[in-house]
Amino acid sequence: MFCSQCGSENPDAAAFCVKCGKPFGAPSSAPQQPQVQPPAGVKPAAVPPPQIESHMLGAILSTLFCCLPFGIIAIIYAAQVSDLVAAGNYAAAAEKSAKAKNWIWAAIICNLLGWVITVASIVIFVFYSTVNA
Amino acid sequence: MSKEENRTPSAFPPRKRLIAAAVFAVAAAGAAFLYFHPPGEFKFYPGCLFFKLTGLYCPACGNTRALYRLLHGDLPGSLHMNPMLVPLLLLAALLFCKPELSRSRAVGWTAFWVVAAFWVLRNIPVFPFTLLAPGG
Repeated sequence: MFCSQCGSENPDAAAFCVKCGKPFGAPSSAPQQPQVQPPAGVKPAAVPPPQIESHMLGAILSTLFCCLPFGIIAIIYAAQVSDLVAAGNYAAAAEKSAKAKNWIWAAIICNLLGWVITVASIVIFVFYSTVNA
Repeated sequence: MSKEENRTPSAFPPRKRLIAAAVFAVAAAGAAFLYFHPPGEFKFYPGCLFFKLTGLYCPACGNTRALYRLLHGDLPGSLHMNPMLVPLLLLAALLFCKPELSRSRAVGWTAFWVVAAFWVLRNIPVFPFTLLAPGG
């Protein structure tokens, strides 16, 4: 069983994730259920994989609007998340997911910094031109 | 019971809805401001830091002008400034409406290779590629 929050592997009977402590629902309501074989021809309803955010949407938006190549790094990590989830390596996927998120924030913060510097330089320019006038 | 457990969590938990609302609010305010302040006349737009540092275009160079033209309904003008703005906005809208697609390996790597190729090609100062540069 993999934790739906951090992706780390846990014993099937665990009540809480060994890594991040996320509770796995009430144990009384989760008796061991035998794997039901799906009828032939029907796509097997596999165990739902842990929901690891790829952050692809945020990565694309930060590439579009933050005008710094950091967004592209976020796209690479986001694509790697989908690779690792497909390979079943949820712990590594969670790691890449966190990195994608960090690069999105780096792009946003750099962009905001650019705006702060711009606004500050306009204020300083206007201030000096009024003082000199 | 098993149905209840296997049900995938809602695509938009409250925290995500909050982020989406914040992004929409900022985007709407930014778009409204941009609509009335054409980047050609107003010099206060910060411009691209990557371009200032390296002299090379980044994949988003020209997006302010492209978005201004798009907001005024000038699609050819928008593509003229940055041909990737409209396709990537459509992709973002698609990922927003179908979040499961953002876990697709094909979508992710296609997005990466298209943007990476675009980044390289728009910096080649030879005819067909100059079309990809801002104003080309």
